[in-house]
Amino acid sequence: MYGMIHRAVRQMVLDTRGEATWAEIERAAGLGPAEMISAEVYDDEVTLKLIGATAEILAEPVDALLLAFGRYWISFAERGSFGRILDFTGTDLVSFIGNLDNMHQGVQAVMPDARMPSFQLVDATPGRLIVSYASTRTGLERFVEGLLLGLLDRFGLTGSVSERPANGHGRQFLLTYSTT
Amino acid sequence: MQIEIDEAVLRVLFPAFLILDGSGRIREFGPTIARRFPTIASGDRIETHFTITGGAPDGDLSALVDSSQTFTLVGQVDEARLVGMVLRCSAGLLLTLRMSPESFLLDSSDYTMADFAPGDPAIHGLLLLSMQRALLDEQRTVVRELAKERQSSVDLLDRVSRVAGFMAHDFNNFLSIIKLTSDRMRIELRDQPRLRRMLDIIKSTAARGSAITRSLMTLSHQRDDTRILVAIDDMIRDNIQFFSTIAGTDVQIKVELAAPGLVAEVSPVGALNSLVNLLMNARDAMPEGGWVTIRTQVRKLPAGAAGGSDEPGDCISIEVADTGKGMEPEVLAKAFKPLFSTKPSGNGLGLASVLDFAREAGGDACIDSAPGRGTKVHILLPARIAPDVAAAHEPGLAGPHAGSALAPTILLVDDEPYAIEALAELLEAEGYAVTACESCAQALVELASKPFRILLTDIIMPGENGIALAEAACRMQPGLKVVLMSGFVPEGQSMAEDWMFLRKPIDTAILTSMLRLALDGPVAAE
Repeated sequence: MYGMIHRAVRQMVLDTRGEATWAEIERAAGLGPAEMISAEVYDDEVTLKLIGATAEILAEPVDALLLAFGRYWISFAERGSFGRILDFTGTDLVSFIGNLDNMHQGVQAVMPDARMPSFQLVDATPGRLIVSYASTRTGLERFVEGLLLGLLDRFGLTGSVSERPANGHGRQFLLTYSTT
Repeated sequence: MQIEIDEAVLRVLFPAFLILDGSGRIREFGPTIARRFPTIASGDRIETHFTITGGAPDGDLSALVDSSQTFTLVGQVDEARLVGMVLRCSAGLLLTLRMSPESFLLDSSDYTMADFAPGDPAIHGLLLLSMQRALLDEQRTVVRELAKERQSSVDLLDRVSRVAGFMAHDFNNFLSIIKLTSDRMRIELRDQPRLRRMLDIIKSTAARGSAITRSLMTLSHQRDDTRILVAIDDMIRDNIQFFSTIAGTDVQIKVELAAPGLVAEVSPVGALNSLVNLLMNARDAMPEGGWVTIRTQVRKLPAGAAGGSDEPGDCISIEVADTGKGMEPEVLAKAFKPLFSTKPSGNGLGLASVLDFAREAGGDACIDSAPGRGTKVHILLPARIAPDVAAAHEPGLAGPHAGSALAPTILLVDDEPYAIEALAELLEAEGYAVTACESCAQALVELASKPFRILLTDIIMPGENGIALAEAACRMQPGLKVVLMSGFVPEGQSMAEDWMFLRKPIDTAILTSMLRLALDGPVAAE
């Protein structure tokens, strides 16, 4: 995964637990500044090592950490250099999710080694969306769930996200939220 | 041609469309128009909001119907540009417009993807440039972080280095006292071999402590390269096992030593490193195994050798000869050049450092090699007759001037009372007249009152500096010989070229031979 993910994990830990905890995680994962270069694509093993060490030091199950991190990722991205790109992608939940693949194509253009997931709006009715998610990676469903919760936060919506039995390729997530 | 398009489809394909009636008034408009031009209302004339440019004669859009001619609308308020074609529809004219960004930098606009039709190349262009810009910002942040991280590491290393250096200094002072006191006791316990054996254990343990301080000094970038008198034959004999390990199991080592009783004034570390470099080269030259001969002999040092005098003199030749494949003439010609190497992983510094070592000691180095005849490297070092070190160590063997008025005078300065006591006693036993001071201020008073031959001073003392004292002393008494001693020399300290330096913990034999060198004349250090 690209280094921006690592930077986001670091920032989440710094925001919530402080520098000493992050230093402990770095030591446990055997990582340093060289693994924090935004545009560098690192082997997934490095990212998994980081997630594993973070979960261990924070004493949280990996799934819970991935969920929290997915939610944090959206606010991290919108505060940083990529914030304007998020704004460009969509000004409401439906258009944003509908344009995610377009946005990822732009990312892919400048980082050809990055492996981008695909999101499709399967069904959209007021207050209810079904989003399909496909990726060459596995095991990141809780992260995706967190991302979608982060998007609800981004657009000021209150609701929930759950994974639902998928038909065919990929996984499906149901978003329900209040439109008032 | 008149076309009818479902409005939902129209909104997707041309989100910035406009439909005008026959009188040129806006009747319908797409979502992009609604968002970007919120003052537009149905019934407004198009000229109220836009200037029509490019392609439409006199602003007459109907003239463009059924042509492939494009035209441009420029917003009256924010100068947003829209480009499109004109089609006829049931309501009048359909303007199939798309946003045409002036700049592809998202930061300077408020575009969203919804302003463009799916697949509009503008989306890709805007994303591409914005991603590149965002990544550049990120990289700037990363570079700043890495620079900060690097500085933190440097600062930390510097702090550790300084702490290590001062620890080495203090530890060396204590080791010096232990070693010097052991030497004093050895004199007193001449007839008690059991107690002398116990003293040997104390000295040997202190020597191990010295190894720890060497590690600390390595951490503090201090080099242990004091030049002392080294009996080359003894040094080689003591390290044969080590050399065998370096040569590896396929290479046999033969040692022929023929320079007994001779010493060279060299850095012991440098001498050992040079031999190690030559052995590694020999091993690499014999991948199938072979023989290495380490041979010493006495030869004449060629006149004008680096650092040597114009007159030829005796030298110790250390020869390392292998039975390898030898060197081609073109390789031989460059062999001593720094950074030249024939090995894939070689750094080209091995032979160059051997030459440096020999020349720094006032000698030289040369190579004799030819394809199929192996390689012989000779290190030539100016030879001296070995001082009778053993005699200097033995109890009661005082120097020739002991107790006489002719005894060379030494001003000894050290802030450690025990070190002063041990050193003064040893030096007096060697035949020197010692005046001991525990501070630089006290030493300056002594210098003002009587002449001295040698100033032997510690460098680091509380609130005082032995180097500053030496400078003042040399001004007060020109011709005074200076021997500085310390276990740690902080960076930025510089010494005069003719001063000598003795690293703590002090070895009695080295101290006495250094003092004799100081009295006998200038040291031939280049």
